[in-house]
Amino acid sequence: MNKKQVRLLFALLLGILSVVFLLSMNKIEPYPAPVYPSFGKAPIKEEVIQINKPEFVVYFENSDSQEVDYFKLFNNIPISHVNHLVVNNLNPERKVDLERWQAKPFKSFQLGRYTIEWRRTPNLPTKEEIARRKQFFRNRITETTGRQDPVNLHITWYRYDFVFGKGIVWESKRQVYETEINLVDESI
Amino acid sequence: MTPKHWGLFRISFAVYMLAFVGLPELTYLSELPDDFFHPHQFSLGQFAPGFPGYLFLKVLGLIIVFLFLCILFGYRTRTASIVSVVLVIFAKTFVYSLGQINHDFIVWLVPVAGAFANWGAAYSIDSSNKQSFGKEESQSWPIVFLVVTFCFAMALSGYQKFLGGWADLYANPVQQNLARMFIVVQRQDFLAPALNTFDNFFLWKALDYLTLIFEIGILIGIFFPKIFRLFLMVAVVFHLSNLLILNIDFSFNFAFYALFLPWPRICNWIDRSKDIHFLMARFLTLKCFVLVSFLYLIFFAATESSLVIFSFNLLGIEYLGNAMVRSLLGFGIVIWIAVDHLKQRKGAFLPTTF
Repeated sequence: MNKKQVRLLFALLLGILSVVFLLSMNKIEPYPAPVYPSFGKAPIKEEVIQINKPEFVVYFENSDSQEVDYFKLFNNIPISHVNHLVVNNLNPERKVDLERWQAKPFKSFQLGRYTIEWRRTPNLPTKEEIARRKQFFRNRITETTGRQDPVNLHITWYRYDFVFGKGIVWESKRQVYETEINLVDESI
Repeated sequence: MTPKHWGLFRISFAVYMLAFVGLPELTYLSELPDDFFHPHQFSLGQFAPGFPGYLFLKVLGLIIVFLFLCILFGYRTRTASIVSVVLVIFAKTFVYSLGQINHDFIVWLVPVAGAFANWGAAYSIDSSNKQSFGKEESQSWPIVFLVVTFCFAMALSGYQKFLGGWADLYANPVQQNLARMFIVVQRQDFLAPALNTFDNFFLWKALDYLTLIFEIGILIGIFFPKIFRLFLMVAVVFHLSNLLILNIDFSFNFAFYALFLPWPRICNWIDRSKDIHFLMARFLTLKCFVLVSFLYLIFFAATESSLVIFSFNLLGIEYLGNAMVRSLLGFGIVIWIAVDHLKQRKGAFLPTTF
């Protein structure tokens, strides 16, 4: 490549970096993009902070129940993605829903008489999708527990106090919300 | 960098990615239900209906591994470099559609820079096939592009931390992140349990400020290559500390940092050794490429892992143990460079140009 081409390429790189900068300032992380994590806002130090953590309990046909560590339950998935899977999909507060989707900027833009959608509209899952989701949980539970007869996955989110210098206070455990996934019938 | 330096770097890069870090595992995605598919807003995933099927992902993974083997042996190097990156970014679009982006972009930009730099000009099957053997040229300007991109990303991260209040005397972001990761993400290894209950204002505030200074200060490195190399040495220690305290692995970045190793010195050592030259000549042949590719593709098809990760898993060493081995390897190289630089006192290990 000659000097002029390299300079043009460099100008293009600076253009791309400027766009990434603008998107980042709007709290949007495109992929792929040269971005490192910012870890969000740094809250003012308090004596106690509250941290949510889920517990997974599986119920079986004969009414047995077993607590399952979700990192073990999803050990077929690379460890760095497990927490996002749980928080984005199995947490009633953070689940991707229509209301949250409406609040997002840049959903679509008009190009003449066409509308270009940048973000898929979340729809209610189809019957097939529900069946596939249940099958996925059944497979994971069978592989983790060795049992073929799970009927229900109960996910309860608890809130704990964390005291600096002391660590987590396990006695402060209190229930925040819960989700139940029926693994037998076809309802949601 | 001369063609020989680029050639040695190319081989080291490919070996590190294939054997140590491992190329993306993909097939587990086919098991996931499509309502777990949440691609990022500005991502190719927005155009996909959901996760691809098993066979598609398996073949995609094998093609990526084959292209990295092409890079290793220097077989159709330019094409393999560009196509491998396009496919990795495409594949990772689906991996990151679970919500988490692993911020490994700089590693995947290296083959693109290598393709522009002509990193297959020496120590490669391509170069031994050509009549212009030994006369091919390579370029150094792609390194500047990589440095600018890397420094931009680091500084942007530091700037956002600053805007988010990391410099506030009454905030304690590193300590709070440790607490959250310890409990929610179960990152409870190495120094994490001891530091989880350690509440010293000066230590934690110093870590907040050091992070800001390091991430924003690296911008200086764009203009001063020697300082940039010093920053990279600090970066290796920074990643090791992050692994020890927060159990976050960033050792994949070493594949990029290796570009700044003292390749002229390493090349001199290799030039003096007839055995290494003989082995290289024997290894970088079409026959050897076919044989190694065949064996490695079978291995990858069966394990979807890297050679080192798979071997360590057999020994009971898992994710963080592997990360620790890579981080210590990087740390060892930094110590070696620092000691040798002090001994030489000629700046050979810390050149003043890219």
